[in-house]
Amino acid sequence: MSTQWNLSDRQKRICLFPMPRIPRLGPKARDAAIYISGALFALGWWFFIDAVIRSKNWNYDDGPKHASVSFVDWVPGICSTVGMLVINLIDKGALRGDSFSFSSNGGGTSVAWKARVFLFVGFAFMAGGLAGSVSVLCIKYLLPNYGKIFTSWGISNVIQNGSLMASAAILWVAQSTESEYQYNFAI
Amino acid sequence: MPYSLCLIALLFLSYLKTSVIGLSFVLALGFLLVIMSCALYGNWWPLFVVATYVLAPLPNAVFGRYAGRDDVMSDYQGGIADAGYFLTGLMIITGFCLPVVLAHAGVITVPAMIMSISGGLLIYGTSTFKPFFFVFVDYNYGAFGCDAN
Repeated sequence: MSTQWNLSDRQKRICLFPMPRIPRLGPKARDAAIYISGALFALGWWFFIDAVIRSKNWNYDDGPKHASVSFVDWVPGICSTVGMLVINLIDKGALRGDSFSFSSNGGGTSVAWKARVFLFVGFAFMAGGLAGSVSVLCIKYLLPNYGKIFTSWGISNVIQNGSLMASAAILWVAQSTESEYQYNFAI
Repeated sequence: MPYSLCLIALLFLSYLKTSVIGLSFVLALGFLLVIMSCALYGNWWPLFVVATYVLAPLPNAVFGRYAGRDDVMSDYQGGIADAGYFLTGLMIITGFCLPVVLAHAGVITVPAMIMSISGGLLIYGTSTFKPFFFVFVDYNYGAFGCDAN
């Protein structure tokens, strides 16, 4: 774990400044972080489901219904969830590439290279989800200026994708401290 | 009336946190609150919350067993246990969010929501504090409480 991001290997480093280390958690804090990650995931989706239900059961005494939650609003959340799945299905050991079984010097097939491409696709999905939710909020709800209730549906969409991203980040930090606990337990 | 019932229940939780009998009493009180939140208003939608209470500890048990937590000799696979923790956290928040969403949609009333949530707090409180009461003594290694849940 000390050789993550090739910090110890000065020659292999790409950037001028060293990347910040991912904080290492204890076993209890690690379990708590995974619980919190699952909680954030559920919280984000429930915010969105609340907006969907309120859009479906629109009370016409509140005024005319200008916009409703349609498939466009579902797309950012689905992108974020797919990105979170992709990120967390990668074996973290395969990303390091310092083990000789995972990287072949100069060869065409490197597992670490494939894992990094997968990681990039996952992060692209997540960032696309968050940016898409903000753009749906602006273009569909904020610019036509429908009113406070319609804007809240777009805001709940942004909250959903933001909490999905926070969930993935917490899960990443927690999962990067896996091997130590495993070792302690095996003894 | 529902607010005072919730208050009395939460006071009982602080009083009766020392014995197993009190723990089971608080658990029964939590289920009573959830059932009363349905029965008092003749609207049985909040009863779906009970399904999340039943399902919440299940992934921990199943996935922890499958990951080999109980067996010292087998190699421990942390990723599977983590999936169980993730699903448990998801279920717990679902248990609290479901009444809020139902009340926001106008399906149930706000007092029913409050009763359901406080019942959920009592039930989860008992299942969280349970390891402090049931301490298992292993004569080989000394005393330890179960670390799951």
